[in-house]
Formats: sequence, C-alpha cells, structure tokens
Amino acid sequence: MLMVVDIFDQLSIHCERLHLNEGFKMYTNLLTTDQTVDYSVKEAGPIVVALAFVIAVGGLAAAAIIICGWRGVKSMGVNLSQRRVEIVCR
Amino acid sequence: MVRNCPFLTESDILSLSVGVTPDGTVLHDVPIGAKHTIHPPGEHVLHALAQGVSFRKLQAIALRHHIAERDVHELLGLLNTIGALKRQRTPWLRLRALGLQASHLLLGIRYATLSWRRNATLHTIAIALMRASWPVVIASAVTCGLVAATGVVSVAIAYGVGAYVLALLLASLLIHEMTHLHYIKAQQRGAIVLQRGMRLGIAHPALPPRVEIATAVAGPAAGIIACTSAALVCWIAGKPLLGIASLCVGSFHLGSLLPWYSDGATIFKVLRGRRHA
Repeated sequence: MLMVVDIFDQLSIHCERLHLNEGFKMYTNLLTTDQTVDYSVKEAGPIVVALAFVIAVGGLAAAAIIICGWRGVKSMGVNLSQRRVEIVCR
Repeated sequence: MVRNCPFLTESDILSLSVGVTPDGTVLHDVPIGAKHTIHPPGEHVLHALAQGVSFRKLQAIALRHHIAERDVHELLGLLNTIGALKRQRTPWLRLRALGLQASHLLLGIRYATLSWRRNATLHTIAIALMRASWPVVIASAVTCGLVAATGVVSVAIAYGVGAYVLALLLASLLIHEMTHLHYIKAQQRGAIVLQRGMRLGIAHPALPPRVEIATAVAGPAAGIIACTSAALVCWIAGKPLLGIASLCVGSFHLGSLLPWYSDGATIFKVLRGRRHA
C-alpha cells in the first residue's frame, strides 16, 4: 500500500514538472513579451536526432571493439525485425 | 536558479542586441517589429542595458530602484530567451567563468546558454548551424574513428562516409531553414535567427494560419527532398551505402515534425487555435 502511495506521489511530481515545462515563461514582473511573436518556434530538431544517431553508431562500434578486440570485427549490423544487434568477430 | 538566465560574473558587460531598444514603456524589437511591454520600474534596468553596463552596476541600479535580485535575473533570462541579451567578456574572464561554471556543474547547478541572434540571411543561418551542430561534428569524428578501429572498413572509407553524411546533414539543414525563411519573407515579414546551444530557430511575427502551417511543413519537406535526391544520385552512381546514409539523414528531418516541439508543435498550435476559434 505504501508503495502505491509512493508511485502516485512520484507521478504527481512528474506531471507537475511536465506542466511547468510547457513552453517558455514569456513574462516577468518587469517585462511582458509581444504575444504576436513566437520566439520558440522552428527549432532544428534534426540536429538532436542526428547526435543521437551518431552516438548510437559510436556505441555499437565501441561494443564491437570490446567484444572482438582492435580491428577484430568481421561484420556488424542491426537486425530491426528481430530487434537485435549482430556482431561477427574474425 | 532562474530559468534561461545565463552565467554572469560581476565584471561582464551586458547590453541589448542590435535593433532592440527601449522607448518609454515599450521595448522595440525592430527587426521583427515586436513591441514588448516594460513594467515599472523595469525601465531603469532596460535603459541601463541599452547603454551597456557591467552586471555589478546593473545590480546596483536595481537595488537603488528597489527591484528584487530575482526579478533582474528573470528579466535577463527572458531577454536571453528572445536573443536580446549581449554579454562581453575578456579572454581571462572567459577562462575564469568556465572554471566557475564547471565547479557549479559538479554541485548540480546548470546555466542556460547565451543566445546568439542575427538578422536571418543565408550567411547568418549557416553560421548559426555551425554553432549549433559542433557536438555532432565532434561525435561524428569520434564515431568514425571507432568504426575504423573495428576493422570492418578502412580509415579512409569510415571518414569519407562520415564527411559525406555530415556535409549532407548541414546542407539539408540549411535548405530546411532557408525554406522557412523564404515563406516568411514572401509575407513581407522580418525574421531573426536565434541559436542557443543545439537549438536553432527562426523567430518571426505571427503569420496567417495557412501560411504558418505551410511554412512549418515546407522546411522539413525541403530537407527530406534534398536528402532523397542525394540518395538517388548515389544509387545511380553505384554507391548504395551512401544512398542509405542519405535516406537516414532525410529521416532526421521527420523528427522536427513531432508534435512536442519545433515545426510539429507550430502546426499543432495553429490547428488547436483554429479549433478554439
């Protein structure tokens, strides 16, 4: 029972954080921004996705080096249908 | 810790970006025609910033006009969000600030990155892209080295493919942002490029809903078309590996159509606004 209460507490904190993080706070006690201009739009999401992709490929290569040693990998790839990474050593 | 306020030392010289000027109770953002409302006694701080002032002196001005320190930080954070805050630092102070920020990071305190803002042109968007994507460049160099170290491909092939993918990513991003800008300029509106960390955006005055949606969709579509064209050329040239890599880069542009941020968020916001109207 105690665990259930804990989980709900954590959920409510999480939801509160999500709510607080919705968009920018575009007013302060000293300045309110013009609402007709949206300063937060059209961010280049692809940069973040590209970084995640590069890190994933780098991680796969690092794992292959750990398993097979320096220049010891014959082939490596990702099998999406079986959700599996395949690394073949020499 | 106030959100969006960058790390400031007392000797930093703070000022407003070019084209941002206070006039009475209005802060004009001339390049995009925005008029922000200044609430008293905020005009004292903003007029001091317009002249250029050290952070130490700004705090003294705020204290003289009974402005709370938190309000000053919030104002600076907001100015940073809209790219209106400029900070000047000597090289020695820059090193010291880096050390201080690193020590604060160990204590779990993180600061917002200072925004970089210019009038949106091909040249400034290209610079902003380079500034935003340097982590990708470094990560790519490391990854190419790791892939070469596995022995699957030679060093030349690993770095060759890496360089091609990186060049295509940057070129397609430039096309993506320039397409946004083309639509905005076609509506005779001003636009600025804002870069903060890995975030990059083009801020502009509100557009008619249909144009807003078209602008948001056209950017990623142009990026995807550019990458698909590059993939076709690679296949025709007998380089299927580069073709697959081009399609991967093209799929990154789909990320900006996710509804939580970026172009996707703009589309959903306009659609939601129309439904409420």
